[in-house]
Amino acid sequence: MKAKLKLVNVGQKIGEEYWEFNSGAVTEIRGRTASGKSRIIKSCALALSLPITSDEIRSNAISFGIARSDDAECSPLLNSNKDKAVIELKYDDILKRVELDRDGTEKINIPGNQKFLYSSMLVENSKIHNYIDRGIADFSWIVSEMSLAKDYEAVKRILISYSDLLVSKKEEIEKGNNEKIKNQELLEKRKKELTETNNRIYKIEKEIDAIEINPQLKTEYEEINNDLRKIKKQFVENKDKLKKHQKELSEIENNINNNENTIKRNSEKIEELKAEKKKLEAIDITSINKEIEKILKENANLRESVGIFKEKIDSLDQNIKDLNKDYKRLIETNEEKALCWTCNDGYVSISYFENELGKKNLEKENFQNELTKKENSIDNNNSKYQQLQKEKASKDRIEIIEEEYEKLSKTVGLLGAEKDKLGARKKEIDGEIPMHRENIKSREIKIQKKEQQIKSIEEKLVKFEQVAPKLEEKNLLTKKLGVIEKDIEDLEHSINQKFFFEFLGIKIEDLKINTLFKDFEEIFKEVNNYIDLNIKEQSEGAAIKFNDNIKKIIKELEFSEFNEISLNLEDYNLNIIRKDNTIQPINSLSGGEKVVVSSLLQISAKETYNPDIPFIVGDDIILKMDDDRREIFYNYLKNIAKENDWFIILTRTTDEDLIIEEI
Amino acid sequence: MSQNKNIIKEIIEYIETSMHEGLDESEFIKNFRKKIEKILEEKLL
Repeated sequence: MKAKLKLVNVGQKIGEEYWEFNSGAVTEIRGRTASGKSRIIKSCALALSLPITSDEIRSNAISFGIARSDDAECSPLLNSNKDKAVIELKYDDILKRVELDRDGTEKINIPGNQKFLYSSMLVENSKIHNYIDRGIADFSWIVSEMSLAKDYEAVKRILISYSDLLVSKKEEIEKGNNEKIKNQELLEKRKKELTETNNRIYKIEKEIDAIEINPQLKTEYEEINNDLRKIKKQFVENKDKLKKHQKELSEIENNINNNENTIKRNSEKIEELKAEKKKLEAIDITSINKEIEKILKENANLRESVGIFKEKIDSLDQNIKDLNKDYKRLIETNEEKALCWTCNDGYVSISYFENELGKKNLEKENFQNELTKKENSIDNNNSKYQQLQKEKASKDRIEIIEEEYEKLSKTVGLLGAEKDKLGARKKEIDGEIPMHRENIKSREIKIQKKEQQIKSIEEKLVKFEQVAPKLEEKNLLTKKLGVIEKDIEDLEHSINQKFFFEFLGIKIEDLKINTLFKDFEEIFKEVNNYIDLNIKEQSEGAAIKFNDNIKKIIKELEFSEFNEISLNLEDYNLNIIRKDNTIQPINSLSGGEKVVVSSLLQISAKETYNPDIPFIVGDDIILKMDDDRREIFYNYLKNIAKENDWFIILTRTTDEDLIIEEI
Repeated sequence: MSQNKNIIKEIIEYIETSMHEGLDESEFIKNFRKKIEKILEEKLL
């Protein structure tokens, strides 16, 4: 696999530049200090890690020189004379593009993984290296931050906030329910009191009847009392009917409202589907097919050209190699000229070789540029091809859209019919309600009139000595009756009133809320269990895997000085045990050992937590290693690059001009 | 019951996708709320 890096206005270089790396190998970027080596690996790291959302990782990125610090105007990778830099890293089927603007904005096309900077960027100021350098043994952050445990914990916190909200709402509902139950009990008690008081009044009236008084007055009194009872009964019936209709009306209004909302939503969806269908119908398959055919033909021609250019480059490579061989021989043997390899007759000088090499290299560079252009055109054509195929395939969606459209239209029709039915019933009730109100009003007037008549008869009756105390008791009971009736009315009103609760800004009727909350409780509980399981697996499993990886690396590296490097599974402290089984305190490691141990930990962290991104980049990490250790380390990197098909790109400061070479 | 199971599956899938893309907490909170509101509205219909 090849990775192609395109840089525009990155670092000191103005304009476009192209770099290529092969996977399965270690590529070394060599050159003098300030020759522009680091910006190449920094650009790769930035493209692979953006967006950086964690404050701590951002501060690491700032110290690596790849992210903008708070007091800086723009990214440190943007050329100081330009307003915009572009980084494009293409590998496999992935193209990562980053745009860095003068105003400090960073635009990306697809997100990378910010943890790349912890695990895959081997630099002297990496977080792991800083810990080792300062002799800190506590590496619990590797497990919590590198594994997904921390992210799962963040999700768990969000979920808990919803569960807490649910509990508080539930308490509110329970309080409301308790109030309702209390009112219901009170209502029953009041109703019983009402019956008892009515019975007592009736009894008193009978007792008054039994007393020997004016028979005409008695008959009149009895008749009016009977009438009053009858009217009161009708009055209660009218009130009940009114209440029933008012309740029905409120339900109808609610249903109409719900129907209207659903119709509106469905109609919007129908419009969206119509627009999508129109767009899909406009796709012209014939012209797409023609376009595809054109692209395939063009790509075939381009591939042929690529083949030719590659052949030319290979042949030039061979020429350069041969020339180099003779040239080196001349230098080594201090000879000034060599036998001409074409005529075998004359001689050619050193300067001739130098001129030829310059010419051939220039020619090769031109071919290389042409090759890159052709390959880029093939890539662009491939993207176009995929887009066209996608457009072609999207035609199949028309059928699905039609089905969905039909279903939604049917629902809208049904809901519309139901809404009309409900509207008719609402009209009917609207017409009946004034009649009930009129009846109630007329009964109230009649009741008042009868009560006045009773009062005037009672005034006459009170003259009879035996009647007076009974009438006094009756008056008291009648007053009590009024209070009880008012209480009953208030209690009934409060019990029948609909309660609404607000949850996430949505009004929910109290009748629905219990089922709804029960559902949400079940959902949150299940999701929470799933998250807990993942946190456990991520923390424990990740530490064990991490240790296994370090063990494997030490074994493969065959470093003679260490027997074991591992994280303690209790407290995640780093233990280093030397070959003679003595414990090595971190701060007593030599400079070179610190680089080795931190690089081992980083590679292990990469293998454990970040294996999907096939890149490791390193900036001058081998500087402090002695030659033997460097060779072992390089061999190990070559092995893992080959084994995992990774790109490993390292910089190294030398006295050469900037050069890229696989090692 | 089966509706709840589908919702649980949908939420877990959403969590996994967010993890895979590298969790952006503020984005997750915003979208998670939208998801819960949608579930609530569907249940109220």
